[in-house]
Amino acid sequence: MPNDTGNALETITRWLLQRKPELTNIPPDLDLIENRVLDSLSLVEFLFLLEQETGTSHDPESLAVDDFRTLRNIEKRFLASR
Amino acid sequence: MRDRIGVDIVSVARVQALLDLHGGELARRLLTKRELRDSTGVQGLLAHSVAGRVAAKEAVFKLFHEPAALLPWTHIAVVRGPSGAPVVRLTGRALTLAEESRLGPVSLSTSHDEGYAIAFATAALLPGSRSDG
Repeated sequence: MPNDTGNALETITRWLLQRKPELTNIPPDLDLIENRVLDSLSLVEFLFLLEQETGTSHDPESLAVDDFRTLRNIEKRFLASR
Repeated sequence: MRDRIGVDIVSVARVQALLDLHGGELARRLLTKRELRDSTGVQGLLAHSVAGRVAAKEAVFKLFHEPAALLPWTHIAVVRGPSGAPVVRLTGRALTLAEESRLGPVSLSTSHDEGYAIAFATAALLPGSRSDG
């Protein structure tokens, strides 16, 4: 069952913080790629998580790195239309 | 003519943790059907084999110099050649990226030790390719 937007964002944020324990929060415009919160391999797992949270599958060929660059971008790309 | 190089190192334990958590569903997003077969042992998916392929695909992807693109995992296949050395097969998006970069054939070498898999990939830039740093 997909999460609503607020809960999905909270779940996503919690998942990201688990990957980077030295962070206590994730600002909306923190570059998740440059700060190594996400890398190529974790992006696959992250997309998997997003699909579970939103109930929507995504064709990886329709996506770009910038879609995952910040929490703001992630919310806009994957959560806003729900 | 300059060559391009790519290298990557992957923790086998990290891959094992992913396989334990997500099993075949995640592996199917990373590996082709043949790679899944080649990476499966008696007790299921072999983390060291998957890790080696993950490192190899990352190393090959770095040859394309396309930081804005997502790694097209299942369009970069790593199979064992007749000599036993790994061979790279590009399809779909990966093939397009290689062609746009004007890359020649990709050479690949992999190794495993102390819980890590490492891969090193090279390819020559063909005539007509745009030069970059």
